[in-house]
Amino acid sequence: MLKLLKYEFYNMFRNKWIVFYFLFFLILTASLFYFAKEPAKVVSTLLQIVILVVPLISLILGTIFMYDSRNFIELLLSQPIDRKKIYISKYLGTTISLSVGFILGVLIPYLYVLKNPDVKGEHILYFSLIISGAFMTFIFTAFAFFISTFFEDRVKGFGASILLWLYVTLIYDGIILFIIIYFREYPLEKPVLILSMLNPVDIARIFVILKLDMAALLGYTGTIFKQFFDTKLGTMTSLSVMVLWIVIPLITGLVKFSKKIFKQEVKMKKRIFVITMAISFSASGGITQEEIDSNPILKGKMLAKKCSWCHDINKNLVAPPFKVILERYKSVPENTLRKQFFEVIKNGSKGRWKEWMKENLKIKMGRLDSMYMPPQKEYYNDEEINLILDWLFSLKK
Amino acid sequence: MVRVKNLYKRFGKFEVLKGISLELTKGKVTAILGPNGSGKTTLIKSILGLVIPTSGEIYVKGIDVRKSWNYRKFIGYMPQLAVFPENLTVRELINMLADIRKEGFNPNIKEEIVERFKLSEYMEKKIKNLSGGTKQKVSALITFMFDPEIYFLDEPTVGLDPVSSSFLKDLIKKQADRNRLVVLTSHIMSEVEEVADEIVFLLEGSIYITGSVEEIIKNSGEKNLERAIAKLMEKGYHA
Repeated sequence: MLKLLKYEFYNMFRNKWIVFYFLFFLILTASLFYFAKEPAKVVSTLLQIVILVVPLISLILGTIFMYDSRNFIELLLSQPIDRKKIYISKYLGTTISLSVGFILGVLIPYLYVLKNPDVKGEHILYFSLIISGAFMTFIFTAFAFFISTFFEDRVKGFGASILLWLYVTLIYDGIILFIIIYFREYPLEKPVLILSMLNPVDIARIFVILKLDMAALLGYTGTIFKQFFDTKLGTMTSLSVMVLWIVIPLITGLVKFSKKIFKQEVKMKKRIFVITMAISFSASGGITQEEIDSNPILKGKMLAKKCSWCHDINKNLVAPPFKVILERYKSVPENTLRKQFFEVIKNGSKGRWKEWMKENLKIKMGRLDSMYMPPQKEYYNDEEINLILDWLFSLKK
Repeated sequence: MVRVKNLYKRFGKFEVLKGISLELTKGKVTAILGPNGSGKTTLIKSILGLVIPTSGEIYVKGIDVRKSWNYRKFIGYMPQLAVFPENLTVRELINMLADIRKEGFNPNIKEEIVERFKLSEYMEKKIKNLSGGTKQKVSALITFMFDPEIYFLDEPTVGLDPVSSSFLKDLIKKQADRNRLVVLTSHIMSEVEEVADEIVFLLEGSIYITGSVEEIIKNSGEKNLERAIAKLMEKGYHA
């Protein structure tokens, strides 16, 4: 398991997405510190962005990674490794890498600013921001993994991830707002508190806002929240609810994954099917069976498909092309040549083209001895050979 | 070595395997044949535990595959389409799998295959930069380097050049001589005729015919396996 994790990290840290993610937060935080020198102000702006970006990126990258490694997971599954361990190490590899990218990106500018003695550090505030961000990474990657295990189809998986993101960041707050306005005559603090607990993004937001001394902005509800969250019970409850938000999707996904059926990816098969169809269609030039049956030359061409593994019409493959053969014997009358070719196709031949092959195919002398035209009598009867010859001689014209 | 008893598998309404029972013995190369969609890959994946059967029992060396995952240490599986983590180099991938699996890893076999497939120049290249044929060679390498007792090879020679393909076929035959069990699927009948001892022919999820290659050719009255199988398939469709 540790080994799996080790390689998961190894692969992750070479992934350009993680580097972009890190650079995004680095540049963002650095520019925020450049404009607003005070850490408290930076945190309040950063919080709004973190709350939107971290769930979105965790969901999308989690889904991408899971779908992209489908085939590799299949390879690992055929090795003597427990399925659960594969899932967990993939999860830890993704979440830890994403968290490290986020934390370093946010932390480095802060530590740099702290070098200036005039700036007052806001360690607790900054710490709670980092904790919230890390928690959200773990929560939403767990959701992403659950979603991509659940949906076989990549497009559906992405759709579900985006919907979930819209729901937790926008729609859910809309619903709460609606409830507050609609029931404003009633004491709402406790229901709203409970409702907020049901959305991981809200918990993270409240968790940081209350440390910001901006609770007053939230009015009476804010005071109630502060009373609750400032107690040990409050902190413990919000932390354990966040842990639950990780554990529930993670375990559900894990159970689903242990029972999952790994078929060949459907799309891949379809694509191959289309390609094969296209090839066989173009090879036959889109001709129907009836046309082939009624035209002996076409029939010969179809039969000669096996010949085309070694003989092209014009190009040098591993045997002389048909046109070259015809050119070489052009002075021989067709009837004599026909008998000779018939014999060669039926019983094979060796040595006639040695010099030509040496010159044109750049084959070494030693290997030339092992190359010859094998007898085809096992594959074609006399009538079929004649059809092939009809087609072959038609190339002359 | 491998025993399958009354295996059924249903994907939704579609019944892919309809009561398959078979016993695979070591020292032989068994080819599972059948038209597209006859259940070949599903059968192999069920034995590997990648597909969970609707009902039926599978034992690998006496171990019930539903109750354990450890039996896979006896098995080497080469999938139809090999896909590996793209950012690793070939050497890293090999070291990683050797590190994770350990059991049976044989550096001598590895070296031999690397040499015969001429893979040494690709060892430091990233997997995403490899051609399809080279990926297939890497896939063969990581299947054979653990020297397993049981091989499952899903269309092993697809995409290989003639030299590599004949080396791989020799390697397959050698495993049977070393008393290993080899199971393969292929659509190239001349290749099957060359390497396989036994044939299991699937048609619409059931075993249509099984027997040795010679028996099947002899009973059909045809000249070679390709013709014999073509005849069987025609009969199967008209029956």
